[in-house]
Amino acid sequence: MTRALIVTAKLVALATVLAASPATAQMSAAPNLSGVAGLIDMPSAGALPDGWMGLTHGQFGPISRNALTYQITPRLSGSFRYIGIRKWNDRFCPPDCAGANGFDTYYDRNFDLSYRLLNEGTYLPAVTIGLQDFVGTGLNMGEYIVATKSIGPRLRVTAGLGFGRLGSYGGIGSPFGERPDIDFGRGGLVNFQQWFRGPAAPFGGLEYQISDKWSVKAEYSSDAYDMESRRRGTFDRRTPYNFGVEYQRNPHMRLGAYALHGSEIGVSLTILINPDQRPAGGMGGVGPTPIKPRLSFASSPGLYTTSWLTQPDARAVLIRSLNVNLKREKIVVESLGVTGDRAQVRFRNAVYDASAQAVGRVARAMALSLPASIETFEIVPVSNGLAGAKVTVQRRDLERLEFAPDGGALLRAQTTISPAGPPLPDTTRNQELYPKFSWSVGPWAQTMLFNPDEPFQLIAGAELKARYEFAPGLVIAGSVTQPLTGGFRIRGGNDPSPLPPVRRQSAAYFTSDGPTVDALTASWYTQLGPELYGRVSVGYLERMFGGVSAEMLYKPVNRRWALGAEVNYVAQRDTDGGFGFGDYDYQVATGHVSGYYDFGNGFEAQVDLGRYLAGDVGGTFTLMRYFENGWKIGAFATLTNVSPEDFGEGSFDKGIKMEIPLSFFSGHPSRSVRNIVLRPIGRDGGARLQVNDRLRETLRSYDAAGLDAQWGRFWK
Amino acid sequence: MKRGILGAVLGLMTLAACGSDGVDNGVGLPTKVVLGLLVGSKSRPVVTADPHDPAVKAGILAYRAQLEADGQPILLASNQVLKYGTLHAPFGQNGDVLTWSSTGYQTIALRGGILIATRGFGPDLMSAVAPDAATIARATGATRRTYHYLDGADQPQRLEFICSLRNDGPRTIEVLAKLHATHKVTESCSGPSGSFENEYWFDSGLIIRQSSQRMAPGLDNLFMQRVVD
Repeated sequence: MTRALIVTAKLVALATVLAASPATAQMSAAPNLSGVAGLIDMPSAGALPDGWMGLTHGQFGPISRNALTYQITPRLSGSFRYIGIRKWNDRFCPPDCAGANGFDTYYDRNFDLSYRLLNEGTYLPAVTIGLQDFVGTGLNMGEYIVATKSIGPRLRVTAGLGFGRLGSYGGIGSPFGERPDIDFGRGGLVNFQQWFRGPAAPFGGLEYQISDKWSVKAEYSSDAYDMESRRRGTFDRRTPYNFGVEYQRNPHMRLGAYALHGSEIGVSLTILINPDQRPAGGMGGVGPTPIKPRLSFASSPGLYTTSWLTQPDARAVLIRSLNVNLKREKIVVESLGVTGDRAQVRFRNAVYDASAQAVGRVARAMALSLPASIETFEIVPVSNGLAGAKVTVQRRDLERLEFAPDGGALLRAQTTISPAGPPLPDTTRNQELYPKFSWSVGPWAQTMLFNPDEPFQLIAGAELKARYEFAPGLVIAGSVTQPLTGGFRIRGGNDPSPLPPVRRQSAAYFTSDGPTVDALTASWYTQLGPELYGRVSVGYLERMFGGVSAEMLYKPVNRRWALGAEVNYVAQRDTDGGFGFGDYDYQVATGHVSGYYDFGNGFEAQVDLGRYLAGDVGGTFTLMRYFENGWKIGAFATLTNVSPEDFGEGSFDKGIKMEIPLSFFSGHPSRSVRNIVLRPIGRDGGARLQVNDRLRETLRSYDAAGLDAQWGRFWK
Repeated sequence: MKRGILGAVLGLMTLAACGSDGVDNGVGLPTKVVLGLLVGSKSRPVVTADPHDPAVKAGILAYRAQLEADGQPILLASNQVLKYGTLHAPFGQNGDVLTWSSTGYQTIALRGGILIATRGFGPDLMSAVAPDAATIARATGATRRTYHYLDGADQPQRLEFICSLRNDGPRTIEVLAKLHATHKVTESCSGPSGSFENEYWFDSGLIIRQSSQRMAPGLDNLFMQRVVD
């Protein structure tokens, strides 16, 4: 059974980097052993600072928990947790080691949500309502309402009422009626009917801050650990009392040690990340060329001549000059057009995550290179031959505002961002640019998570990427990976399923220890209209599928919404990493119409409707919180016409998505983004084709919202 | 074993990818000793060298002679937190602002010797409202300062300070093995975000021969010396 999920393996590395980063903010509450804001094993009404993320490893006795908690809004928090309980079958095996009794460790995945109903006031406590394991198979399912009040600067008192698992010890009756038996089926469905039903039990505790770094905690737990202790004997729960001491090494790292239930010792490690603030603060990278102001027309009228416009090679010479001035920024001018006192530069930006900074660097180079008669600069970032926005600035404003206090805001007020439109008449292309070949070799890693036989597997190796551009927007690109630590180890057979194994066997594509063609495609990108873009890709689109993919995107530069459509006809590739399609003999037509909306408050939504890889039909809803520096964190869920029974474990496809800009950690400009998709389980229903450089990704941050989000870096 | 593999992978992650698009990082400077003396602190010396050692002194003198022979104005700037210290030469002039650059393109913009912007350091000073050098040289009264930065989300932040000036009297300073008679002025600033001090050593021509000026929150001041005019 391949109950596995494959994600790129940077999270641990990123967290480790952050652990060493300097202090940026005080933590307002610490995650407990389950990774949610709380005491030791019980929740509290505390919360992480808005937008922060916590990665927690908690362990006591036979129980280990790895949790990712995200403070979605100041009041709303979500957690995903992977738990393992060792000695699960010690009581039964031996002698009976058949079937489900045969494994040592029980693994489960939990989703939690909590919402703070009331913020703490002078007299009133903070009050939070929470759901634990609310879409799981029910083992850890519990609900709670909890109040926390600070008494003075050092002491915090928490008291709550738990239900379900959290009401399993010291119950005071069932205030909201009996709890119906759970029918979890394939799991993964929300169990509304159980919420806040059945026996309720009080819990509570104290947190005392001894110093800035050290604190102690004591709690009374309402969790009987019925299954783990009484029924399976994985540990001996003697008392409801837990005690602990915690050490806040810095705002990003917290360690804890605990005595639990009179019989066990526990430890925890939490890494806290604030996606909103780069650990290094401001972005590094080479400083810019200063603006070179022109001599005034009155003093040097000869400099303002336009006779050079008639020189046949003038534009080509100026393109060369601009490219020399932009070489250290790795910005390349694709074309230059000049009309009267206006010049338009179209350029490609390989480095700057903030498109405003790339535009600023081009503006500086234009001020340095272009003749004095050019007053208006039109600057158009181009990606794969596609132009998103046009930034129009006046040269005199650049000269005037270079060192003006708050010069970024002052310049933005004088700057227009509009659709790129067609190039100016008589535009000259950079003849030296095409054909262009580029390549790179870099480290590569994959992880396989949540496989019950081996919940964490990592393979590391190297990746060779190559790219050949015949003309703007006409590209052959590919990548080959070579694991150096061997491929994934898979044991057991496959789940029986009525669906074709379009993702279920994804781990098999990473078992080869030889070179694997990850992707190899020929793509054509074209501008179909002022704000309408098209793409056609042919070849090995992703590790598991090859075929044809065509896409259109309508993305108005100054609007918050965009619309897209994609159709693909693909066949499933062989698992050996080669060029064959023989193993599965599976072809499918798949595609979606997509709508994107930016709410403007740091949240954006995406809806995709269409046909998925297994031929199922339905829709995906994605909600992402984004930060100006490029971080995105969110969740998605896909519902299709595949029934929960046919889908298998988990009932439907859902998960957590993150886009992490590598510049966040390096502190140096980079357009590399690490995409992490964390699914509790990877199945075949609701699975989408992966295509590199889809249009939205290609045009990322090249619109008014993207430019404005980091406009301050125009002058950086 | 697991830890070993993870460690190896993390090490691997820190390796930069290589490819066809090389980066031009400029040329290093042959000034380790000078910069070591400037940047190194007692607790963490960058280079162990005794400035009174005749051999070291002779080396520095020879180095100064070489810089003077080149005929280019030189600003020596350092910051202990960033472990930064190098020479800067004029890079551009816009009005009364002179931008100095290192060979690694870290730039320092000075208006009459007063720091108003940096670039290429990471936590840069984006722009500033600052008193002019003549006001500071008078060494009495109060000044106002506004500093503009970008935070870790690239959003503009503005910090305001009110400062008082103090005349510390005549001081003889040594700038790369050359003695200068100066008078020192200290500017003590405080605001809602904290307090700091800028120090200036004016020579007889009211040129700021040496200064220590606030750069960015969390960093030490930028220490600057005009080595060659």
